[in-house]
Amino acid sequence: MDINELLLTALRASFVYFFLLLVVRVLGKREVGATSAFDLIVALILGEVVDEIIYGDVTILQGVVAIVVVAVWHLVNSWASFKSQFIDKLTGASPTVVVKNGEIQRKNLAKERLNEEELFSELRMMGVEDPKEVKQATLEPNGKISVLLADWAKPVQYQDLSKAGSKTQKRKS
Amino acid sequence: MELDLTGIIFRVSLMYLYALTLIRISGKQSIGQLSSMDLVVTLIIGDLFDDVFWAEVPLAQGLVGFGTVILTHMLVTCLSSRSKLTDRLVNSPARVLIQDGKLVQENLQHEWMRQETLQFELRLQGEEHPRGVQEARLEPEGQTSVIKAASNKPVQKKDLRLFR
Repeated sequence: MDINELLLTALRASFVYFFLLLVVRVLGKREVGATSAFDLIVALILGEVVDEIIYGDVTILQGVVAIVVVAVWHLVNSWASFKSQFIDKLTGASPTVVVKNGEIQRKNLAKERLNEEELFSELRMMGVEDPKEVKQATLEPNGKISVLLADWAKPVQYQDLSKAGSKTQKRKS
Repeated sequence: MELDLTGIIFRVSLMYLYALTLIRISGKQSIGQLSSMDLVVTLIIGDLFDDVFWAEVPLAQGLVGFGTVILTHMLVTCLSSRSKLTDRLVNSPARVLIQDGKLVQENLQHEWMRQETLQFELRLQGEEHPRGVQEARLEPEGQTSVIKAASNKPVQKKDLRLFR
């Protein structure tokens, strides 16, 4: 191991860094890691191919080609999913309603391989004790559960205040 | 190839301490605020290690490769926090997706974001309809931020005139 090889390693590492920076920038902020499980996998692929390049087990050109091919397919995928609802449904998950108007949708839960305990745990994390408080809970494509509260269970909003105010006393404007 | 266990223990420990030191120096407190590039760099780091563990590359080469990536990333993030131009080059700017209850189609188009996607981001923030939103942005880290419309906000103390 001579000093030249170390210098080359440093050079290759900086090159790989800036090249990936470019790729991530071109792919856009939502496409690497942020939204779906598959975006995370793409991030993992991009992170995983580089050791051979940096340590010089494959040539820079081979590495660049592999990264570009992954990036191009991911771009094509996200573009097609944007343009066509069919492809979006095909390649990405679609939302599943798991609680509707206080009723747990057992069929949908089963379809998503969730059990009630997991659902209750998610609801508790959102500060919801009783599914009756929920107007709609949805398992979203990114794997998180969104909770829309029933009207009566929502915290008081400013608009409610003016309604209540108009019943009792007129607000000074 | 015969791998002796003491060698593995030595290399793994050394790389662990080296990584710990460099990460501490780089000043990343947590992984809560990860940009796409932070994530990719994190993955690269993990990727660079195993080759050293199994002695597929010499220790020195591993130290240099890993150090270079971390230092370059430090340099770039440091520059982009100081210079507008670098920030503009490295990060894509926050884009407004909803303004005063209306979708900004041009920006949705620009980000290749379907309305369904925006809808689920809103639901995750407890908002059912763009109507109730004053402003939603796609932030540089890739998350969607939602500012509720004034009438839709929970009551604040100032509304009850507890504060003036």
